[in-house]
Amino acid sequence: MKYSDDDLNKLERLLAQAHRVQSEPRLDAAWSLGVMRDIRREAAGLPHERSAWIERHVWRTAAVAATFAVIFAGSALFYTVVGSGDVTAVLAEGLDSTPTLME
Amino acid sequence: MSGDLQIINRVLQGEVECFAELIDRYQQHVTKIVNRHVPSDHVAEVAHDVFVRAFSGLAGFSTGVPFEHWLSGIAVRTCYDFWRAKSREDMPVSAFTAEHDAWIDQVLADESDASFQEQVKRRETTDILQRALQRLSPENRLVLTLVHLEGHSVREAAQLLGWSVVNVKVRAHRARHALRRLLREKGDSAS
Repeated sequence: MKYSDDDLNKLERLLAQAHRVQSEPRLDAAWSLGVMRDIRREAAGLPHERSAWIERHVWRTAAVAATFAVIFAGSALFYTVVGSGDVTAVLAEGLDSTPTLME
Repeated sequence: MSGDLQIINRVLQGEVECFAELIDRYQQHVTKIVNRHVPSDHVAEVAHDVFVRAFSGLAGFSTGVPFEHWLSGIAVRTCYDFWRAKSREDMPVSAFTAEHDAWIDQVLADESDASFQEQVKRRETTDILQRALQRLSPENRLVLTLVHLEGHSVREAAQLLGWSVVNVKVRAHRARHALRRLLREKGDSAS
């Protein structure tokens, strides 16, 4: 092991101080105008630029998923109806061929 | 000049343009927080999101806490979301180089306080810090930054993140352990 606990403590202290002395970038007036533009859109109920793309894709994905769901539900319903029709037919046939007790 | 609460009430009553005053007042405060958590080339974008989120959630602002404090929480959580989104991407993790190893050895060998203060400002220190943080999970990264690097108490960090005190306490312990393990491994590989 190369570093002792004291070494690690010293390194931690150094990193913490380096973190605190980072210089701050200044944001200009154009940045504030950009934020206000999105806020106006938000207030008007419009999607702001950054989320517009995401929202469009969410709607597209939802539309595709809904189409598949309708197709799946339709086919499930179809096969259930057809399947139960077959069972009914077999049962009816079976009952017709069974001799009654009265005979 | 109106107080924050007056401006907030006006914004909530539909005077959206008044929000520009809040941006003007707290831009520097938000930038300062964001700059400590995300790379400098993403500060503008994340600070932008902080104000848009603050506007969207303004109706939920409680007068029990100062607006600045409420906004700080949004800023920290937006930074957390930034790292969560990044962690889903396949980001390359930069390894420590021989140059970093040599530099750390030099720092550890140096006993003088003046020299220590000088090293703080060196590019290598920031570089090592960023490379170490890159290897932590978004949760550990945020907690380590708030508690160990910035000196917030566990309770303050919990309030900022909106997590339980116990969760932050456990994370803080794990995150520090992870950082020390990284540095220790680096020392082992260099020897």
